[in-house]
Amino acid sequence: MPSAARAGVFVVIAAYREAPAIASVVRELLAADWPRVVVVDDGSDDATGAEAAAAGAMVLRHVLNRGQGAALQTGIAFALRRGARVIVTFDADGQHRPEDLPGLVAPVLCGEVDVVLGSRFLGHEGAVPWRRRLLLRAARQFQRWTSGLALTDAHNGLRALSERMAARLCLRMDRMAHASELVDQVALSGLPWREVSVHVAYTDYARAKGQRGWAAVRVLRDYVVGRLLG
Amino acid sequence: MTTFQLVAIAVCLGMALLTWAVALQRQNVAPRQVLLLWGLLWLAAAAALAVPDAITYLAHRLGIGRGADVLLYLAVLAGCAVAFRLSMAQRRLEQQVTVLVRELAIARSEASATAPTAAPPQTSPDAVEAGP
Repeated sequence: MPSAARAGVFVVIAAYREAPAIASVVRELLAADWPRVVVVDDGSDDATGAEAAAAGAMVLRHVLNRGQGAALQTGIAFALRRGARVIVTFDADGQHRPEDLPGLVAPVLCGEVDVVLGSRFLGHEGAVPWRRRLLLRAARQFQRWTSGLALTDAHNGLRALSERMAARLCLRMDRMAHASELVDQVALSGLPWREVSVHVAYTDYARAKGQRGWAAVRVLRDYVVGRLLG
Repeated sequence: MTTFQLVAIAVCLGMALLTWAVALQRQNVAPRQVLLLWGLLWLAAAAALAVPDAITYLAHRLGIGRGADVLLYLAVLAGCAVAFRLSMAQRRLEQQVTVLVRELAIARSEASATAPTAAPPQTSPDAVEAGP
């Protein structure tokens, strides 16, 4: 992929209390020749923002913690104002690999589709803990029912959006339910989408930092309330 | 009519008039309608105080034994309605806070991009406290 094309690709990372991991995530992305890394420090009380800036990312700071959905929307708005052609959402805890980005970005860059969603289950790559797999299966079924999109994965934070899709995106579910909201808005937009197999590393750090299974109850509640009340 | 009745009726009527006076000042239709409704509620309270038997009659018609029970159930319903309205208002407020936080984050990053030599804005409360 030529450098000129990569300059239009903005990798947006929402980070909350990720000081131990964020610098290496940013450095790996820059080293893999993705020059535009935007970290939205979502009101962390640790050195997340400073670490990200020192590692070479563009850092935006929420003065109050507003949740991952809110932080991603901030990063996306910023990237669009900076002339992004493709926006990639990437997790801050190191569970995603920069190696997956070319396969994610290319279909959007060449105009085949407007949305590429990363999937843990296409091609059986990576080992997903069984309890998480069961939960994700239920989430996937729910997602099919609410959005009409038959995806193989749910709530995977690795995605690529075209400028067109990103401009239409309006995430109002500030916390974790935004991942379902995003899929709904993709379905509603009618723009072409595709799933691409990605690897998700369930490292000890990511598992300790990540959502517990029971958090799904809250995500579900946020989603239902958000859908009903707008 | 007891003294309590007289005083309470006066208070309720006063509240009804006050609510309607405020309602007439409002430009927006939705809050005005809500206020008019509250005024009606105060009026109903005044009527119930004036004729306590009316509530007992209403209770019997509804199949509820005592008038006080009708009031209790109505109060619970009103409480639920108020809680719902408050949570709606809270939601709206949260969304507005998010928009503000977002605009502030983007505005600050653009300010620091246009003036790279300027000192970065102090956002951390610790940094402020660290002063003499």
